[in-house]
Amino acid sequence: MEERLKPDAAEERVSAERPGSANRRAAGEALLAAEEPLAPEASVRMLANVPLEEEVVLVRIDLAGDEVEPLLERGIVPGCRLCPLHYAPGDGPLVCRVDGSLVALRRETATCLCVRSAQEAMGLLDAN
Amino acid sequence: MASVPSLAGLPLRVALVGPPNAGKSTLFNQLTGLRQRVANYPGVTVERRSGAASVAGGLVDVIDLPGIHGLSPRSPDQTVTRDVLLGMMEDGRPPDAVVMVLDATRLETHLMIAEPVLALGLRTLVVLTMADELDERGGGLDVAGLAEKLGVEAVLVNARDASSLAPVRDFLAAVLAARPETQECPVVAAMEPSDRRGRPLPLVDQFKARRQRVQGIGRAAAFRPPAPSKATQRIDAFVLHRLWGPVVFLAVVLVVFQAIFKGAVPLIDGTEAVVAGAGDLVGSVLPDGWFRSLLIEGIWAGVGSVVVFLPQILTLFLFIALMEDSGYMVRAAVVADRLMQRAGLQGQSFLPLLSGYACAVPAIMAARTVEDEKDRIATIFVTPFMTCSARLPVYALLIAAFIPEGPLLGPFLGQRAATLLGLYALGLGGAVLTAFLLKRSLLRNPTAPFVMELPPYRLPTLRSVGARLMGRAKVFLLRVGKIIMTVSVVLWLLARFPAGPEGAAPTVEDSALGAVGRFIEPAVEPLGFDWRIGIGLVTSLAAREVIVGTLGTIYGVESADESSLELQEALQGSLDVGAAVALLVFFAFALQCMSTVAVMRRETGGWRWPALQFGYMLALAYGGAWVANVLL
Repeated sequence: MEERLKPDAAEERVSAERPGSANRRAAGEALLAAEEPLAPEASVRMLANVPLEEEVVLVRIDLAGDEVEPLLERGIVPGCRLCPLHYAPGDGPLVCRVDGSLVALRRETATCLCVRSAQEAMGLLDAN
Repeated sequence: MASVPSLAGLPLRVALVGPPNAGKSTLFNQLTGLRQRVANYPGVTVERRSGAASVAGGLVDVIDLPGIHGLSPRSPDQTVTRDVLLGMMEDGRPPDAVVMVLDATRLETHLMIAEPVLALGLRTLVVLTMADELDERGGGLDVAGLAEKLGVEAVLVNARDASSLAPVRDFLAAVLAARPETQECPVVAAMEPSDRRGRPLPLVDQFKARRQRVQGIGRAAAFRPPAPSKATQRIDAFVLHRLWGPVVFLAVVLVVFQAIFKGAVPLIDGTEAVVAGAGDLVGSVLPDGWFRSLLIEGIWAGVGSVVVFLPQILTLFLFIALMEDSGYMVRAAVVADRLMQRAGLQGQSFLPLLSGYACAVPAIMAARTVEDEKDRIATIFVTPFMTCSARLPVYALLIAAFIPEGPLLGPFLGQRAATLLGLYALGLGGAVLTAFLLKRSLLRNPTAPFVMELPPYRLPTLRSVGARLMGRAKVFLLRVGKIIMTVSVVLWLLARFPAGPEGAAPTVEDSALGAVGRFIEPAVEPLGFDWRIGIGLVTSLAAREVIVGTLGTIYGVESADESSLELQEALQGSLDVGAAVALLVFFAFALQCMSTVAVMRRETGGWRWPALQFGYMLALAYGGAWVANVLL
């Protein structure tokens, strides 16, 4: 039972390596983020900084468990393709296309979604 | 594994499950027609919609479960759906079968919910809707291949076309014909994926694995995603535009507001005339006496005060149904989100709050559009602060009596108009402050992210809009109406007893109601009010505007209304300016409306929130009125 409650060692290492992830972690709560294996940090951006109409691939989600589940349920899972289409007025939510669906996210949430360009992701896959 | 011992005599029960905007309610309306019932699940505010579907072999009880994105007990909607499917609700037995409704144009996203539902092992039919859109936009799907991969039956339909639903009815008939004598309940363990060592997988890994399986199923079923809807792209470019988006939004809310505030007035007047006419007709054939008085002034007046809200409720819900079914409602929430976020609420709260300016009763019912439970309660809680139309007669009477006619800002703003504007601002300020406090205390919800799916634009259907209006009207008349009627009769009794000589009705001041007014006089004295205003405050618990008629009766002014000069002069004689402003402030904050309390009880699933709301607003009203009386 004790083993089940401990965060996986590899996941703990991945979380610790992420810049800025520690301050988002609630006290004693394991960060339930995951990341795509092919993700050099240099080319990773936040979704909120991606220009409109640029297609990107989700690399990882820097949010705690309760916050990440609604995203996962709507198909916003590492590896999915996202394309920002509209910024709502007055710094309002960001509307993105996610695998054929349209989803609106607040900017705060969009800054926790780490993405890379879809073209680059395809190139990395080809190289591997 | 628990089992239901015998199903003999129990109706066949089928649950409709699926994500929001997949066509689930359209299918439900097609299957059940007008044979629908709306109630709440016990202990929660989630609405239970059920109805009887007629199929070969008999009737099937169909439950339309709330739209969900998953089965984790994260929200009340998902908890109820999960509990119903696991047999932990609905008489402790799971449904005999599940009809899972998924949008074929968004197959891969919607299949994410399919896996945990199918894992429960219930007999399931997957209904893929929007067949027409999939075809029009160049998409495609091998339905037989999908059914094979999922291991259950699957059909592709257009839920709006009744003729395409024969396979669904055939499925229901087949379930009815082949019903086993006993039934086993599914277990939760089936919903928790684990690795090879039996350890639960981390959350993200679970969903990543699920998405890969879903994509594999899509490939095996030759799923060809449709091109994005051109019409949706064009409309969104306008509706979500940084400049035009707010303009469209404001135009829409203005139309809705005007329709409730002005457009519904002839319907309200007509309804009142019909109710009053019918009451007069019944009254004319009954002999004078307490029974006639109870029937006409108690019960019939109660019926009138319930029915009179219907035009506004139906008008507001007509717009809500059109906006929701067309896909605009979610866009409006997106446009208003940043503004509402500043008060701790979210975009979906905007329409209920705006509607509160016309009447809090339909506005509170409209708060159902707010998905997050805590945000919904917060929206309901602050809605009665918005200056509803029932406050206007009270404001008009007191402003005309105590505020001089004269300019404040030259020709642009007069003193009376400024006072009225100030009262609107006072209500709005109370709402914003209360929302701010609530969202940082009782309704704190820091971990709820704003994630909304935007469906493509679609033309609303008459059937769907009509069914929703019928449902709302029934809910209001049957559930809220009972409470309003009861309070009306209690107020009648208080005004009628003790009876005078030869059974004649007492004057208001000699009645039990008058005694209540005198009893509370010491409490209202610090506000500058006497016992007569005290009686007015008690009678206005029924509805705010009732105080005008009550004061007219007490001061002996016949047919008194807010423009009655005689009543204004009488009030000038018994209230000073400080007390008059205190009364205005009291009415700006106090929850003097039993219909609002009744509808809050219904929408929050108990008396806790209405009681807290009544107490909070009363305290705010009393404190504000006291300060006004002392300062002025």
